[in-house]
Amino acid sequence: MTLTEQHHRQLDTRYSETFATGSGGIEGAPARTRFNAEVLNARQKRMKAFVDSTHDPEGTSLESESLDNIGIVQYPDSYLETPREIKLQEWEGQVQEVGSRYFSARLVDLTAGEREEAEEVDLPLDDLTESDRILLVPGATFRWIIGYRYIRGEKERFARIVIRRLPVWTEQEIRTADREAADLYNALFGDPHNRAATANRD
Amino acid sequence: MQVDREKFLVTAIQEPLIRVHDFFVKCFQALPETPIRAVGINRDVHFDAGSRQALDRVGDILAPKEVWQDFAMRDGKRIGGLRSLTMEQAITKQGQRERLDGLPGWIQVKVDPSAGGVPNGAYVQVNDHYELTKMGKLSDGRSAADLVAQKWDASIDRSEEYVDRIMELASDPN
Repeated sequence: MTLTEQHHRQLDTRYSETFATGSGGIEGAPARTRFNAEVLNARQKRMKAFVDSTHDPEGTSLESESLDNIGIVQYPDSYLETPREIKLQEWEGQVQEVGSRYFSARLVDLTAGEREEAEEVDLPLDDLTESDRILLVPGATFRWIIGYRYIRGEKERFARIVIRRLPVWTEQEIRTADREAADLYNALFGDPHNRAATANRD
Repeated sequence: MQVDREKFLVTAIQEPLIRVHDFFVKCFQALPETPIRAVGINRDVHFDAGSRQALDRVGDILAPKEVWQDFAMRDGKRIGGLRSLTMEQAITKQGQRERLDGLPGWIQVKVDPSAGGVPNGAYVQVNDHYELTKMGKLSDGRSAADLVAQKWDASIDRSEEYVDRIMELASDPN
């Protein structure tokens, strides 16, 4: 076991977030929220002044503006424990067939850094949440995670299957796919421009 | 998720984190005209260093106590230590910060003692920030969606690497 793996085992909660257009952030339990209109209006003015100016930009780091400063006060209803999770293995899968109790899929081992499907598996439908069941069709993409989690001090193993709600393809992805298709075509049948030039010479 | 007039924030506290990517990109593909000033892909990690000595080792390597002398140590006793450290990767060009990929923005790595109830905990935050305002003009949702779709995987891999480096500091060199 490498040092990194050892410390991953001590890993608490890892999470990611993406946000746009502002700064600051809120962590914690669901809460009732009160808005202070005066403070919010003052902040709107500050933000507008910022956009109009070329001053040092405000960051997207969570701590760059505290909650108090944006006119929102939260009252936590109750303490919500965030389970500590340690991910051991992650695959991305593509659904091949859906049966009455199981579905089959091809898997890419993301933990091993693989890029191509190298494994096949049958997974029980019961492992899916109800909201994901309706998305389970041949061709659907999903993530399958196996790991440990700590809830109220108890360690347990978990497996989670989540069907991806894939965005539509971006322009860049379409261009990349076109390029890969052209490369594959050329590898199989040769470059059409070169073939035309060869035919003309003949 | 938190959405107000100034901010759109999506957070995942459970794997798979790719859900954040999918949701964000899909939202702004559907809202392509939304004015957007900046995008940040953040990674927050609280980890248990294993012992008080290991946690202090992290702080001592990042902020050597020889520099602080009796501010941090007195009579062999620790009386102070690292509260917060932020490192930034950016090149300043014409008064603007630019990332190594040539885009306006920066990467910041912040290390604090964890306040999340983790025993001997350290907290690492990676802020992968992209500034989308050009000459005072805001960008749009379409550009933000394309940017996140393009940068997500590399950003998550990079932040994992930075977090691993900090975690490795906790291990005893002997």
